[in-house]
Amino acid sequence: MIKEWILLSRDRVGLLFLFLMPLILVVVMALLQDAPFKDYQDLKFEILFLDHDKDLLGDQIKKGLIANKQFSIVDSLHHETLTEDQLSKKINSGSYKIGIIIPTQASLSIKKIASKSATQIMEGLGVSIEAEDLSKIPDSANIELLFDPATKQSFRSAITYALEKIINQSQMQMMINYLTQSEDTTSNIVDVKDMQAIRIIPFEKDNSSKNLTISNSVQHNVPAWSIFAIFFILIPIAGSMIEERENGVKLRMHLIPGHYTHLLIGKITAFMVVNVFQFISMLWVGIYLMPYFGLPSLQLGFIAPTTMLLIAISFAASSFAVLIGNLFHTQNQALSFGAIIIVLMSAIGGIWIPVEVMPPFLQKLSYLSPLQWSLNGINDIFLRHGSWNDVMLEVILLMGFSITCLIITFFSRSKFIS
Amino acid sequence: MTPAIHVNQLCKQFKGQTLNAVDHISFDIQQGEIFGLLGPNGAGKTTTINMLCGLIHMDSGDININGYHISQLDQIKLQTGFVPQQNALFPKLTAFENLYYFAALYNIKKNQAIERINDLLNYFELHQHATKLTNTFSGGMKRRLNLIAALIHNPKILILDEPTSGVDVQSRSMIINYLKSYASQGNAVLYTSHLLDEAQQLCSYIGIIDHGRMVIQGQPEQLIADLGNSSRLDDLFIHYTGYQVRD
Repeated sequence: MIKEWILLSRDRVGLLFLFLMPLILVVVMALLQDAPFKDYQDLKFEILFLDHDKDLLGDQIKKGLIANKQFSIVDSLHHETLTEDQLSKKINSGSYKIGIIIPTQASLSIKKIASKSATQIMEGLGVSIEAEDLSKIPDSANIELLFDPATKQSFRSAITYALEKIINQSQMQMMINYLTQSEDTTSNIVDVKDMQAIRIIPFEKDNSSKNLTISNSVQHNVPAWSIFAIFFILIPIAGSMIEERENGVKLRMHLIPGHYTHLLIGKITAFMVVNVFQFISMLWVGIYLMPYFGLPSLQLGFIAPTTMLLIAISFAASSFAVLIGNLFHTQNQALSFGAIIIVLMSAIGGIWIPVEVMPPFLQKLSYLSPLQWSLNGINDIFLRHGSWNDVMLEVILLMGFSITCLIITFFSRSKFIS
Repeated sequence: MTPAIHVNQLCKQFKGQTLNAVDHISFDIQQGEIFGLLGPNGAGKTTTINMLCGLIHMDSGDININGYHISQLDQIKLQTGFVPQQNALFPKLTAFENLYYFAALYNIKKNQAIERINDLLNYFELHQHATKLTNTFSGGMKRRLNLIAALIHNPKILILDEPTSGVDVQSRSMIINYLKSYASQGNAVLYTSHLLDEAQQLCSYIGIIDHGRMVIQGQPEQLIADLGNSSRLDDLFIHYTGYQVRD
């Protein structure tokens, strides 16, 4: 173990990169992913708005969008009224994310529906009313939504839902105004908001949720990329093992009584200590440095289960590195394969994007990733304020993975040393 | 007297090969003897040595080292020091750190290890370089340190695979003198080399191996005399192995 530290300390540049690169990674990723993690309400969208209707519906929708505060309306470009062609080009080029086109006679279509409904209601009450002749008006109108082709489906769905709510509310208000014979658009005799019998509110009796830490860019990225960096201990471990094989030192160690596995345990232990210091330094960055970048400070959980989980994560990373160093014959083979495997395991493990948004096949595959177990454990402690019991499964999985790696290493040791 | 090394009908065939790499080799090395295992490239010298050190398994035959059967590998490793052809040293550790590490692996106590290391470094004139990284050493210095690493646990048997290849004259002279001194103390030496004049100077007993088989063994002076028309080991070697270049 001491030999490993001496060798590490003699490679000062390598040691610097071992700590500095993960710190840079954590800060950059937290900054990059800050926007996607922000509350939906913090984001604003500009909507290109083309109103062919030029009537009540267009006004109602516009007011509804402005009142929402998430949207700002753009109905002219360079001081000229927007055209359909311009709208389409701007959306397709990605200059704007969303466009709405209100068709002509849309308000009249609503008026027609309202008129039909009013007539049916009154006839049902035995009262006949004189309805306006709206036979030439279409029964329905389609409001067109355009999205930047690069936008994700989840974004489109969320925006479409928000807009539908506004449009439906506008429609309903217009119908009620028609039924109540109100032409005054500045105030409503019956406000549709007052007619809402059912509302959605947060669950008030959930005491545990009051203590939950909200997931944000720092809360996800600092632990996630710290775990990624821990597993990248593969580079120095596998590299040193292959170097020892190439310079003949491994041969000498096979000539010394005792089990080679003892030497591997010493190597693993040495690098586990390095991992611990790496993790602590990244937590430190998360707590004290992130606020200087305008990001929230990292919130920790209970220290004892965190320590236990960290030891398990580090053991898994080092054992895997030892396996890679043993299986491959050259540094090119080991480091290329090892690095890409870590990247793949982190990708399917939810380090980059949440597991929930992956295709079903990959979601199942994520259960096999030690990085997923590690991140899940950290989230149980940091976000869900879990304790020993909550991370026991992840610890067992990580220890099992470590032991499996060491067993394979033991049995795959080369019998012929040249 | 029990020989220091007893090898009987040793065989080894590697997978995918039709011929035996080592084909029923037998020899004994007594205490105080320097045995030269000579042969062309690919003859089976290194394979034989690897089996003696327990690095590879033999297919058949028998090996006893200082009374211990090859299956008692840990005991054999304690009795034996192996000097590989490669300089098996950590380049980024100092000479002292290298030796101290290997001594620790042999469970040699700290004070004993330091004394032993200092004695050997002094003998091989490396004491003033003890705190330098081995990647700064010359070829000769590395070979001497390589030898010291095999002696650190005071073995009774030394196995050397071309210990003086690529080494300067002074370092070679130092190594040869040490081996003579080592054997004179009752220790056994198994030595391989392509440098036949050195082998003739050093070895009290030789065996020539070719195509995995021991073609001749005995005292070099006697074997040369039996050949009749030469006084050099080179001629004896060529007589038994031929002029064909081996790849």
